[in-house]
Amino acid sequence: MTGIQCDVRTTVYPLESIYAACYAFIDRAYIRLDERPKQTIRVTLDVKEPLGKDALRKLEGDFRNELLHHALRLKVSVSNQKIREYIVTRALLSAQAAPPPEAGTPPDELPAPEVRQPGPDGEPVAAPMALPAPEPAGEPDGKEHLHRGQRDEAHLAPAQPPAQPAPADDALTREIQKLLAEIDKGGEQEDPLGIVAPWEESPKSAKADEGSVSKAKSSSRKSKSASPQKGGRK
Amino acid sequence: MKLKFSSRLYAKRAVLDAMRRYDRFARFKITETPRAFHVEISRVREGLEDKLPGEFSNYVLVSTREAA
Repeated sequence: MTGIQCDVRTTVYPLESIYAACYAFIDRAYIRLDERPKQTIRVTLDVKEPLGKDALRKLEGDFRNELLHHALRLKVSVSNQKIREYIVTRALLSAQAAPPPEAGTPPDELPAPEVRQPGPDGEPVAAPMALPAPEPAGEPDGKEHLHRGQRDEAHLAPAQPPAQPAPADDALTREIQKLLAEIDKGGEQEDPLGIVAPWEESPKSAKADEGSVSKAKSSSRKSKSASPQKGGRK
Repeated sequence: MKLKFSSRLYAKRAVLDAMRRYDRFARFKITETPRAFHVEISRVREGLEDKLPGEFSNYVLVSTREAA
């Protein structure tokens, strides 16, 4: 059985990426890991099928590439962890806050139940109110999608307030706020040299804002004169 | 034959799991030192002498990765 040996430093390639790279070659080789001094791991790949010298060299190159690939993948995964968690949490929260579908709502095109009342001869006849007058196509009030029964209800029942979203889980909300705070905090540290000027301080925005600022000042003066002072009543 | 698994790189649970899985192909005996697990393989089923140690090692590696 022939194979190759690679010494991999764990300071360069994390152990997790070494495992992942080995896993990719598990169908081609028998793999052994041995601990070596100076934070080094010796990876031994004994090929299952006999290979030539060039093929073995290619195998070693492929393995090293795989190591690099997984190390980078791990690094990206760690750096994106916060935002990934935030997105998933936000998606879960959105799904939780959506109003649940009504349990009694019939599926599409279920026939409306006919209400029959006893006639003068005892035979039940269809109630006249059960058949509304035909309406022109393309209703202006946007109720085309409603079935007959639902349309009647819409005409008769008073307008109901929209369904309130279900109260979100407190722990989840707190977690989102915490993540947002961390992201905000991380964003502030992206300018260690302090060379980024805020938009308000740039000369272009200052010129553009001159007109709006004067308008705002005049409006604030008006509002101050119109509203009584807070401390005046005390 | 003997196989050595570093306790820093391989999980003990993975070694024990592999021993259970391959029990019908050979006899396994484990001894533990502070830095490694030593697995002695004997009475290997005929025709599997070449493959079994390698497959066993691969199984331990994959189980360790999944346990991590």
